[in-house]
Amino acid sequence: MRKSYDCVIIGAGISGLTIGYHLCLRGMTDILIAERSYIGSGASGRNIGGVRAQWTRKDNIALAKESIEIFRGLSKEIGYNIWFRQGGYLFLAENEEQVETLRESIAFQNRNGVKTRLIEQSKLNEIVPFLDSSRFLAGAFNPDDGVLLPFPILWGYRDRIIEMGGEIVTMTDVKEIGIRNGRIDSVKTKDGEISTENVVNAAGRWSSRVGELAGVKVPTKPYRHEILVTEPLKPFLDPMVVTLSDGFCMNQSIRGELIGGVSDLKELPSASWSSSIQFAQRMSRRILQLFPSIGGARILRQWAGSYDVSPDNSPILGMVREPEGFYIACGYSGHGLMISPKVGKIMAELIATGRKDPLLSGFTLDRFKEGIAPPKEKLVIG
Amino acid sequence: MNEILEAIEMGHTDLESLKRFVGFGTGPCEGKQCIQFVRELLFERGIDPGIGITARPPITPVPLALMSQEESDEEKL
Repeated sequence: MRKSYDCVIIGAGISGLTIGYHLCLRGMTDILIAERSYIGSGASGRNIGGVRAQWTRKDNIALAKESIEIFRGLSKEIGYNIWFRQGGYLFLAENEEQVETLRESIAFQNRNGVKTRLIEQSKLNEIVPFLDSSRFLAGAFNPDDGVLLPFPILWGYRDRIIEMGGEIVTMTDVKEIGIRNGRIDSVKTKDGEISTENVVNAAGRWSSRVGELAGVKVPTKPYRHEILVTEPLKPFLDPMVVTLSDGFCMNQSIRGELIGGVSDLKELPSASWSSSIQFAQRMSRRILQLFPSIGGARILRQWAGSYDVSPDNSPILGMVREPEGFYIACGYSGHGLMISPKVGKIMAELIATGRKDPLLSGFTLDRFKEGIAPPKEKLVIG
Repeated sequence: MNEILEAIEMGHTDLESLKRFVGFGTGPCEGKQCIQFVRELLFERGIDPGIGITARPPITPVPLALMSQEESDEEKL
């Protein structure tokens, strides 16, 4: 670590690494990414790798659509196989009200260039064999959605950043952020003070704490989400299957494992990452309701992670008014990885050149203060 | 073993990162046997193995059908 950098990014998750990668590509290589634990130790390494364009806000759709295009070529670009597989996402409706929700979001997505279509009950098994389709009235399917493996993306960005001259330190918590005359001046870690004029808060579930270090109120809260994975089965499940009722989501990895979660609708915000037997039971029951024939499959492992949830379930992006030089890229509310390629690009452009991509306008921190917040994103899982 | 050494060379020098890169500790015993071995490899190379990894539940693989039958504490109350 040196004594001074052009920019210090806090957090080596997908948000910080993608921004760092694009800063380096733009030639701004005098950067440090400081990570409190190991790379991808937060939500970036704990999710199930879903990527979708089925959203109910125009700007979320735009970010996701462009990101899907980038993911298609990303393995080649960063030199790691990210195992991106476009098997689609199928949202399932269990009652008439949910069918109506799907109809509305399909029409909206179609107007915004997403090819989502309604799948009638009788056709559900063509997309998902073994599904007990008697439970579901209809589904919404977008064939361009998909899944990928998060860690190779993190490793790829890591290697490319280091190759281009950027620096990443792990096991290094930022303890203080120094401000002078209303402008970012330094950060402090266990290894001492580093001077810098730009700091990016890409701290995921720690984002509100990092905000406080700079005197900025970031209105995000962490929510625990649990996941389990089974032993590998013969491939049978192409899309990611999601239920609207309870945030059940599951897909089959390229190795054949079933991987997924189901929300606890009573879950309160907390920093907990513990695994619970209640989740394993709830999830097992739900899997067997949807797929009654796979009761013999064994659970191998379960774990937990956090969503960094913002008040309108959409990310917080951009530079704050004060202190100058303090940038935010957090509050992704469970969909940070899937929009990271586009977000990283436009955030790096903002930091390196000051240009604000129009897509950033709906995601400012100010939207909460000014009471002009765009509508809440409704298609968040759990 | 070679894979682990290669991963260490590539800069994955803590147990958590090594686990994700190589996949040790994700088999049926969830790392109860191999973790000490990897810890020693790191120690021999003068690297502080630091924090360990969390052994994930369940203790042994459990069929979905069995897990779905188990009565939860919440339901017992």
